[in-house]
Amino acid sequence: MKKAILLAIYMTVITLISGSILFYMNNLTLPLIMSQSEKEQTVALSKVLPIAHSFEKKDETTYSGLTKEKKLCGYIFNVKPVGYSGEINMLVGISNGKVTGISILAQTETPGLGAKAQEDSFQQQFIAKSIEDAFEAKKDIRAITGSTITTKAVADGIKTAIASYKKILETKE
Amino acid sequence: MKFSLLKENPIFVLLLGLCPTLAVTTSAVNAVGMGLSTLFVLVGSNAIVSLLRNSIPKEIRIPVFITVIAAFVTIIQMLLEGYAPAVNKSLGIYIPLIVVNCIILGRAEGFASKNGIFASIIDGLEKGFGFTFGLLVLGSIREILGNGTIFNFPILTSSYEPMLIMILPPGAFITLGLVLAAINKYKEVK
Repeated sequence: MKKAILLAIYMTVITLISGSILFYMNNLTLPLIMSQSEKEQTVALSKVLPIAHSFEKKDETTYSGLTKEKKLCGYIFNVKPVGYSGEINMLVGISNGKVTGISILAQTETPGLGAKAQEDSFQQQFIAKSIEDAFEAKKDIRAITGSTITTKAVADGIKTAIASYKKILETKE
Repeated sequence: MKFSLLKENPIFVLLLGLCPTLAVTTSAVNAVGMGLSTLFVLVGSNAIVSLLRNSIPKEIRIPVFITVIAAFVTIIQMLLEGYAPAVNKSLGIYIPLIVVNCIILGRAEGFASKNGIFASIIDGLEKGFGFTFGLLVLGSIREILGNGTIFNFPILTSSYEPMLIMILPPGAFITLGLVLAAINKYKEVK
């Protein structure tokens, strides 16, 4: 019985010490981690809507882009279509009835095939496309070789964003 | 004490820690990131375990080791997240999983709990660099053949069509098998 108590005390001391060290390290790195992810987000947001100067979170999945004069100049939608091997977390920027850019934040597609969706050479083809376009792989979209499903998923994501964009316009009118 | 990267190499000789080995060696950068993170945890846990070795009751030594290892892993993850977010992103779940890497627990139990702090740190460095070296060999082979690059620099001409399978999971097994076969052949000849 006495032994068991000693063991428990020893374990408690060890976990207390580790816990306090982690507490200290967390306080040290947390501001850095926060600013890193914030920076990452601003970079991604301005990539998909370059004309905007600052951004405002509208709801969980929508951001509005504002110009220097604080005038609304476009929207960014966070959409998560399902690709070949999981969700593709991406941003779509739309302004004046045109897609202004897309960016993939996280994906689990096959390296060398579907993962090529992250490359600029693939993403640039969507810039300046009209929201009335068909967004169909192999018709008005150049597909990634061997990754039709990923290409379709990205196109579906953009279509979802366009649908939300149209809804916002409708409610405004 | 002799310092050798190959004699008791965790990957090529002891065949320990194969799960991260197979999973993260898709590129040389990943291999080095994983290797150095493991090295940090290994040296740190070896040092602390060695310091505590005379006071740890043997009934609860494993939970104590795991607590120490987990603390170091959490520290390295917070540091990576803050200072090298790109590396942290591409290694993903395999950073927290260093906790259950059997090399680290193996060295705590098999070496650090029986030896002085200096010898334990040297042992941690040896096994850690050995692990990094093993990962780097596999990561380099797979990245060159599977992507035509090394550390993201293109080295093969554009006429080379990358063997995609090498950076997919089967490529890990193929590469590890061939490297192990080559090492065993070399030992036999010697």
